[in-house]
Amino acid sequence: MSDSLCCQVQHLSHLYKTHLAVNQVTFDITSQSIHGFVGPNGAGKTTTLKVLATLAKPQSGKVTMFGMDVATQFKSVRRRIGYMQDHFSIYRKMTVFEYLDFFGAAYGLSQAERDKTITDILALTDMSGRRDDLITGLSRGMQQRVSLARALVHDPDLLLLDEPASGLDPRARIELMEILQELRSLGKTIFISSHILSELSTLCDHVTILDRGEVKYTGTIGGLVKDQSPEGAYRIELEALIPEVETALRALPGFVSLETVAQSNAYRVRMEATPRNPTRLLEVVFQNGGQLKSFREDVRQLSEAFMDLTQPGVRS
Amino acid sequence: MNPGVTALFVRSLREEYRKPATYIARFVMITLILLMLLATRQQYRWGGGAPGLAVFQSVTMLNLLFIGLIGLSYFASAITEEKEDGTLGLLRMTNMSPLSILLGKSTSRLIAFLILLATQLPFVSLAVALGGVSLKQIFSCYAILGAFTFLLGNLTLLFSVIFRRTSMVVTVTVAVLLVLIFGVPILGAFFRELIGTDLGFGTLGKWIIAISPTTGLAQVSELQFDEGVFMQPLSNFVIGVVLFLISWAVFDVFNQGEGRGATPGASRKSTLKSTSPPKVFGGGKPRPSTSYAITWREFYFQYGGVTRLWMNLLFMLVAFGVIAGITGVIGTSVTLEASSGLFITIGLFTATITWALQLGTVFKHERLLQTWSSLTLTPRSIQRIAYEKLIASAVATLPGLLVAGFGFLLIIEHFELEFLQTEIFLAFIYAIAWFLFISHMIVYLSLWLRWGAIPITLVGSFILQILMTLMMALMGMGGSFDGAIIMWSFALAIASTILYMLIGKRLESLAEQE
Repeated sequence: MSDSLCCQVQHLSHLYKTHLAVNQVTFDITSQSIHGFVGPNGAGKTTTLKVLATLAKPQSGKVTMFGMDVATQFKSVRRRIGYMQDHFSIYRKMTVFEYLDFFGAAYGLSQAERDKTITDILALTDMSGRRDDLITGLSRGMQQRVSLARALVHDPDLLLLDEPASGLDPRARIELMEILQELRSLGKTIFISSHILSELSTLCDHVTILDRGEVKYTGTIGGLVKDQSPEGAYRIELEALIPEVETALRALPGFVSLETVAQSNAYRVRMEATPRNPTRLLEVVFQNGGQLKSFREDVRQLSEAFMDLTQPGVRS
Repeated sequence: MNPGVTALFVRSLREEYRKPATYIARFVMITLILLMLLATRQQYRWGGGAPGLAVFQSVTMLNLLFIGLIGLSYFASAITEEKEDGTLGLLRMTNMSPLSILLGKSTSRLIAFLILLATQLPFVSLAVALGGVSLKQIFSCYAILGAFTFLLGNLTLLFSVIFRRTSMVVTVTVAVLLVLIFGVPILGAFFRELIGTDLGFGTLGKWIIAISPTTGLAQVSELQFDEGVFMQPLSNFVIGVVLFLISWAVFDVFNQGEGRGATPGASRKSTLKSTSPPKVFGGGKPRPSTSYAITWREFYFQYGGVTRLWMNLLFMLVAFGVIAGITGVIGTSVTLEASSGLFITIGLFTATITWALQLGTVFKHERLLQTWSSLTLTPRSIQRIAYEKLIASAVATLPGLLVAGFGFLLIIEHFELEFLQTEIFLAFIYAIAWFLFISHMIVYLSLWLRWGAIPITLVGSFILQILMTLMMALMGMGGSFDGAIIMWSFALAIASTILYMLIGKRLESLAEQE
């Protein structure tokens, strides 16, 4: 296992009775990265996360974390991972400090270590002022932070987060993403499952797309966007659409296709990949009286790539 | 009837009949009745006596136990389970009337239970063939049991409407029944001695005895019974109807705010709570140690900590004071032996109840709050977590054991230690085997059931004990006490080991499912 990888999932399959939740899933998690894990409902994300978190044993395939097999060395693995479930897993009758102190002790931290770690975590999650509040009285966003703090209390190297932003208001979501970025800067590796693709695309450097239990893509976000974007595609936005410009574009050598982008004054033009000569497009626009508003290579967004890679409908 | 009123009732009835437990309960009861018939026939094979009556009496006792233990917790959760899940508000938002909710949630359970009684009738009627009992007796008995079930179902329904927690409903129902059965006659005697008049408690006590199912069943079980019984079934039924009407009348009063906090496991009060911890448990609590962090949490946050220990101790001393005081006023002298017996009884009773309740809830809260997976991720084995929790449960029994120990100390000089006698030693081993079996069974059932792990275990253990006795009778081992004790202790130890492994598997599976 390479030093830059903290987790390797190889041909992982998991069956619930007759339902194959995860089928031959293979991907790696690079150290100190934020790795997004996306897929429609029922794709097998939570099952995969549970295997990574050592809560479920891999039925076939192999998962190696920090060089250790999660099936056999799960106790050692647990010391190095923090898992935050897709639901609140909190004791409501405790105060924030008591809750974190309890989990710190359960992870075997001495009292002095706990004091220091909890102070740091509360500062990181902006909860220092709520230290002695009962968890039951906290808002959903605050309870989510307490859950995150609990996952961090034993200073894990890898954080596994299952839908951490679900149910949060926009402000709480943005604040959570900021905390995650800060954690990355502290050297943590974060594996995050989420449905909010716009936020993942700015937060993550790696992504794995899962659909119906199978990996559809795994790698860098940049790679995904590049893979999924057709070569030689450009987006030309004008102040107003002009028929002469459209005719001239169609007449260009190497022209493949042209479509008007709905609800905008923009053309999506596709040319043959080689020879690449985007300036020729601009010349045609100007020569035919077009007033250019914007011009760029037409790369796909994460959400568009996601839609292309996954099948419609919910898995039964 | 308006389909809106019966919609929930029909749905609940369908759900009841899709549950395997419904059929398992019937199968177990009928099997037991048939085994009883078989064993009694074997026992009376040389003639004489009234074998049919013996079977009939045993089945009646079994049913009373079944209704009193399992029925109680079965009916108690009728409305509280919706409150605990935070779904009562959702039901009310559908414009469902209180009557329709009460009918749907309670009457369907009542019907399922009454059908369980009715299913037994053809099989119990076989006892007539054995002699000593008539069909009239059997039908009268089931009329009494049915009416009592109806009364109990509606009494718990009323408390289920008033309170938020099933455990509270069970506690209050038991307390009310105990006060009615034992408290009223004692209070009558107490006031009669103290002020010369029983303030009507005597008459009330007589009336309670008259309508009590045990009185009716005692009459029916007599060999020469030939009259009909009307008093018990009719009065129980009428009181049941009155209780249902009261439940309906007070439903809105006690459930106005439902639906505001629909978080599972969160009470209505908790949404109104301040964010500060309660002072009573806040002060003087030590920090958790790394070795026993889970015991610390269990003891301070699930049981109630040192304050609860003191409260339990105080409660037992008050109970002792009240009983001793009443006994003194009534005129019975309170001897050292009697005090010792009282201390031991109260202490052991409290310790046993505390232990059973702790076991029944030891993993329930983790399931309810969905915290089990977080706990299993700590670098501790599941067995270690379970035993740390059990240590807290054991600590919770300390006040009871302390009081019992004190009672024992009062008579220690009169006590002759005969522990090494074989019979006593074997009986001790047998008791330990039962204790381990029951403890494991309660924990195991609590991992599957939302309610009723304790009563089902108790009734199940009672049935198992009957089966053991029956099998011994059938195998001709009735006379070999030592051999039977060793054999059954061994069987119980094996059963406990199997349960131990099943508990581990179930806990692993719960962590994965969460």
